Amino acid sequence: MGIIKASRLIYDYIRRDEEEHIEEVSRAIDELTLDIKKGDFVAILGHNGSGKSTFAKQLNGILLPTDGTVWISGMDTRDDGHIWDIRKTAGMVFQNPDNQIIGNIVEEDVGFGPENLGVPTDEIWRRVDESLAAVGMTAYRLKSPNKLSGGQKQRVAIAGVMAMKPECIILDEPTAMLDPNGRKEVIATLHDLNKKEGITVLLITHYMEEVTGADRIIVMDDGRLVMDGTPKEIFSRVKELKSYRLDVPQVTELAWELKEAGVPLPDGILSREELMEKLLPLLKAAVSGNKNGEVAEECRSGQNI
Amino acid sequence: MSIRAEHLNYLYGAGTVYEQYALKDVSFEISDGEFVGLIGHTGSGKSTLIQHLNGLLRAASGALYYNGENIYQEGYDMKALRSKVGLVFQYPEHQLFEVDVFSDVCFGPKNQGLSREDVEQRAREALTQVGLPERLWSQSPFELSGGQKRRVAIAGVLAMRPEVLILDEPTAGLDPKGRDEILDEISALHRDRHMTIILVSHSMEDVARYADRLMVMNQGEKLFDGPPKAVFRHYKELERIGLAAPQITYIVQELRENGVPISDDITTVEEAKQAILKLLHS
Repeated sequence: MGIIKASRLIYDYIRRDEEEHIEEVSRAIDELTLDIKKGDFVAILGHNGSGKSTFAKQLNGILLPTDGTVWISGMDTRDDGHIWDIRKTAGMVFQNPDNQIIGNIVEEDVGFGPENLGVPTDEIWRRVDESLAAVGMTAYRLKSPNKLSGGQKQRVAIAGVMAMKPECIILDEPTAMLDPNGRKEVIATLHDLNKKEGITVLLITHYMEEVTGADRIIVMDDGRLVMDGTPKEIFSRVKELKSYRLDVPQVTELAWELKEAGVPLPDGILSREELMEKLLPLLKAAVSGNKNGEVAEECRSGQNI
Repeated sequence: MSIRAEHLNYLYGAGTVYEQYALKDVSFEISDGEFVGLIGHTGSGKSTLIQHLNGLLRAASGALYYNGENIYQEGYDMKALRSKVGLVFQYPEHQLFEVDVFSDVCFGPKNQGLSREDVEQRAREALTQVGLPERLWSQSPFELSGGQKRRVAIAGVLAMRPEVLILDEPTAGLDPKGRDEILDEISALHRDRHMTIILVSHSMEDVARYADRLMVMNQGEKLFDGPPKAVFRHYKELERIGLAAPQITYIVQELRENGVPISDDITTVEEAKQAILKLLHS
């Protein structure tokens, strides 16, 4: 069993009237079965309302299943006795950094989580040091979070989760409010934590270019899992992705458009390097062929004179 | 008809040790019917600037003219300005409050003192413009999806029939399809209704596709101002100030560095596709 496992998970949002009679039931997650391996970097894609965030909230017991089961490191989220262990194992980071920061200075904010877990003081400081170093924010430890950029704030929020020593971090659109630099910082930090610290990362996002480095991509639609594979596999299926209101990175889209127009390129090109490797020889051949043609023409016209 | 800013300065924490320029000597003129993309890193002054344009913030010095009239002159009708220059804030759906969608959109024109008939006419028109299906009009705005809520909020501003529409990151948090739909609708307002659009965005790909002109803000100053193609040629400077060029620009640059004769004017997937196909088939 992986670090996160869901079996036939169902979650219904239930609306009740003033007398507590059920008015409406809407199914947000519909028989989702999924197993995530420890140490993986997994991205979840899906349109607004596809059930991604509802699923994320199942993973540390903010929401509990209507039916089916979720296990975090083998612990059933419905088991009251395990709720704190589950929250220690699976840390959450949300979209808006301003709603997640409470400390007056950065180090205080990062220490808040372990302090609440009853960690001894010396150990708290050690964790604060380590977490700030892990997200590259040590230089800012005595700064006020208000004076930081969006990307820096989000990295402080990630450090705050790291200080609780989770095995897994779940991030619900952590870059939606950030500028291009802030987005890059946060994604690079996550890959770093994944590789160096072996943290399992579950990243929910609407930016396709942020997930090309993931080990695995899961696509949700109407509360169901509809696609599951490596970035290369998923981004080869351009039309299918578009049918789920999603998209592909611009590099992939360009390669796909060229291929559709008859250029011999493989499916699922994800990076600029890959595109260059395949496209440059074709372009060079065409361009130099063209030049040779011109030269030949010049020679001929030369002879005529 | 135009917006003309002359040497705008705005300070945060004036007179304290934290005094900081949020706008520094910003001048520009936006003509009627332009589609302007406003980009800059977080804290570069974009939001401060757009709040000046409808008089929510007042510059410490400098002048701002709307259709030739100085909005800082005594007796200038700020209320009228605010209905002519409509501002859609970030996450505007947080400002929805009415019991149903239709009433929410009526709120703006109702405050303009129009007759009930006119108010409802405008609300219907605005909701149609943003493509919200009629069956949702009587629902509570809080029951809608993120993209739908955002449309209602934009319709609320459109119902005041602004001449200029300013949107602060209207696609943040929307899925790719929702993002394209909203931007296409904004683009249609620009094309069909000749509305002046100012779009604040963190997506270089989006502004490359939709805007005719880009203004780049950095530390309260206007750094670049020109057509997207010209601005993105400065991609190295843009990176230094926390921005970037669209992914496509980098592909084209790399092709050029490798000796492929392709124009450095290319900023969208479609343009790149056409140029590459032309090279391959030449």
